[in-house]
Amino acid sequence: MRTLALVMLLLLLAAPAAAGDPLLVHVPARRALLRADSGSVHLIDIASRERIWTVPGVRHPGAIIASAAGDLAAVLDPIANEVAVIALGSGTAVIHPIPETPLAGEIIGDALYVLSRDAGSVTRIDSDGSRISSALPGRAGLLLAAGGAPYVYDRVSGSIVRLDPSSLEIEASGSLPPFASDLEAGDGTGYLVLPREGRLVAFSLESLEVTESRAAGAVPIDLQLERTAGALSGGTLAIADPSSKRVWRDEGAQSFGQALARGFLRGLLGLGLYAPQSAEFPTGVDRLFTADRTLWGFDSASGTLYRIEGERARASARGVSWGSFAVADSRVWIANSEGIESRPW
Amino acid sequence: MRALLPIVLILAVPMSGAGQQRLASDYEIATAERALAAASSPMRRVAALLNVGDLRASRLELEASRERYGEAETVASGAARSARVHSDLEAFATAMAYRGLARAKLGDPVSSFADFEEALRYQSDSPRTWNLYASAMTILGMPGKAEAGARNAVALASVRNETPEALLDLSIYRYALASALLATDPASAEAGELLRSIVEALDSPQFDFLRERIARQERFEVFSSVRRDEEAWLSLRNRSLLRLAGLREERGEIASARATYERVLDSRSDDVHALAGLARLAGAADDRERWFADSFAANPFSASLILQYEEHLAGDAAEPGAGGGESAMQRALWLLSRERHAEALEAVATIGERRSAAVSYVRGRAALAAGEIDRAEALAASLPPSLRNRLVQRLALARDAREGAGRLLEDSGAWPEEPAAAWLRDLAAALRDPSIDPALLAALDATLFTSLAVLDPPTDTRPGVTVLESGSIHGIPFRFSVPTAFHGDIAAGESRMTYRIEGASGQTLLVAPVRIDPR
Repeated sequence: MRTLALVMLLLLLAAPAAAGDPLLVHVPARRALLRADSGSVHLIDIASRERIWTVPGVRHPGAIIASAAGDLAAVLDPIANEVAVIALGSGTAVIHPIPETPLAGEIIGDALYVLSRDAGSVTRIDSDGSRISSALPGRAGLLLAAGGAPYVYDRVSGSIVRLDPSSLEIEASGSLPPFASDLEAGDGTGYLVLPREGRLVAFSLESLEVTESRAAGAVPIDLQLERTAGALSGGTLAIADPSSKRVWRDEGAQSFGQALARGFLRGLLGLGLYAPQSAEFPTGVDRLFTADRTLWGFDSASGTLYRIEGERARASARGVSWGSFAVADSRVWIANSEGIESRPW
Repeated sequence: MRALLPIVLILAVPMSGAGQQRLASDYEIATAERALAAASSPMRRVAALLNVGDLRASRLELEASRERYGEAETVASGAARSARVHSDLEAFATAMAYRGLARAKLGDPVSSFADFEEALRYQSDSPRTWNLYASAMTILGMPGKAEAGARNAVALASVRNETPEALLDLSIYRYALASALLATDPASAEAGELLRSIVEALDSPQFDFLRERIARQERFEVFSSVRRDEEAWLSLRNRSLLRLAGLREERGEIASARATYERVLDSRSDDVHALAGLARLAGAADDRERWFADSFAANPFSASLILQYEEHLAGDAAEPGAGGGESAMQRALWLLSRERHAEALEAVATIGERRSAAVSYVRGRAALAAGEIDRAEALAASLPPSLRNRLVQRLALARDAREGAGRLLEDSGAWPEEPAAAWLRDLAAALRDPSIDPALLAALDATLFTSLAVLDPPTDTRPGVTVLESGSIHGIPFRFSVPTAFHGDIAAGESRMTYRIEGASGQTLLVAPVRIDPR
């Protein structure tokens, strides 16, 4: 062990996705919340808070996704290797067996793409239930959907492939730095964060070649691209760096690519939200997402959800598990064993 | 000082101690407890706790092992939190991985998997973390995940194996890969090649310095989480050889398997897995009994040994003790096989204060024999899966027999005069239930049956008198309660026999003959 912790604090961590915790996702097109429990999935109307329907689900919900159009959703079970594909309109579900360790899914059009990390494969499931799978090089992947095509990055080798969305054959391949922890895309550019090296890497989604590689804090672990409200081409890069206990951002760019360049030209203007040892921000933020036109940060170590506005961050919920909450209609919705509670930001 | 590396032994679940008998793992437990007391950092404490837990589990001291795993989980949680507070993300990821391993040992797949996902976000470049993931997934019975993790570990470590330390690490990752492959295919050729190459590497001149150090220090301990190179070399060689021997046994390469088990014993003469393997492969009955005696002396509470010995007892096993090395557990199992349940309970009562689930198994078997099905069920719930399954199978048979007895009693007015084989087997099963309904016995006592019996040779013959004792009907053995003399000369072989059925002993029907008509 290279480094051994010297101080032992007997405080329990909030598990990132603890056993038995339900998952929750907002389905804006239906003004509803989709909740996955062990063995069942429920659609809940936000206004009335009434359950619209319940369908069978997977035993160990690990990830939940819903299409922007609000017609299709999926719940992945990385333990039992199953996926529940749910037609949100009719309230019907079909559970499919899937290759080893389905960890990530993307919905492109009316098809679901599932990455099975430990099998090293991607499976496409169509709305009629037909399936095809494709073996990939490597068994340590991240999945990304951009421009109507799925991309898979192998964390161990650094290889990246773009797949034909219909046949799942490899359309293009490239070589990127390995060991990234997150992969995002916007405006024709893909982005990786490398926690060990403390770098952010941009690459062309067309050529799959690196276009920029810059320092990005101490241990950048998660990346989020923010759209500026009302400006389709505008964007902001946000990077979670729990080591320095900061969220790095660069705002006001015309595009993500320009944001990247501009930010780095300035030395990556990080917003030091809090002093590193601040009692308010004791363990930093390691996950970022956007909802309700707002950037949110989550600290897996303490189970704290932060709303980030400008240079301010406020705790909106504490003691929650990653995936068991959703943000919608200016409220935070938290699924627990007794139901769903909500509170204003 | 090396990185902590787990080596997972899934060959069999181990043992516990009888009376004052000293077990093979006593010394290792003492060593691990000392390491625990001296642990200067949380992660060293976690490693020591996992080792103690594994050693206790190997003796079926399940409560004690779970306590240690639970402590390891708590310490790892604290270390992770502390690491985040102090901005040490490397230490955070390591603590998460070890918490995942502890949770795997506690049988919690969802939390264990989540912990590893968190660790791998930070350390996807770490062969050690992928190896921990592979080990945990193997423990949890998910070989597909384990194989993928181990392949990643091997791929990452293969680029830097120029030093003996790096080669030792790579060998550990190869061992994890072989373990995952064997979980899917017990005769995997790739696993065989991996294990062979590991042993070859460990026995190469590159490790002369380690072997000399081990010899000088008189080391022999085998642990699941190792820190020093000596521990790693010893543990890895022991387990690789055991797996290789098992693989060769699976393939039917008996001589080679036997030689490989003997290589394990060259380094450690009290390895229960090697001793039990040699018992399985022994050609002569005396050798087999001797290997079993030595196995029980090494670890009388090994679940795999108990199951293996019970299969042996179904045949013509000798009473333990004749070859020396008798243990209370071995004798209790032998007594159970001879339906001497009270004596079996007395035998395990001599086992000291150590709370091994093996004792619960014997008590469960005895409870079942006494017709106390509810008590047997309660005891079964406290057992590890392999022993629980064995007891549950017996419970199912007992329930079937009880239901069969009820059906037989309902039909008692229409019993066949010449019973068929299946009917007799159902009846024999019902009669083995110690809490059998007396009404069924009364109905049997009032009924005469006739069958074509195959008589065993007479036990005594005098002119005009034949003494008979046993035989079979439709292949089902029977015997008379006492040797019975018949007028006339009756030869062994087929005769028509009229009889009453009085009970059953094991698979044998106890009958009272009324008349025999030689064919």
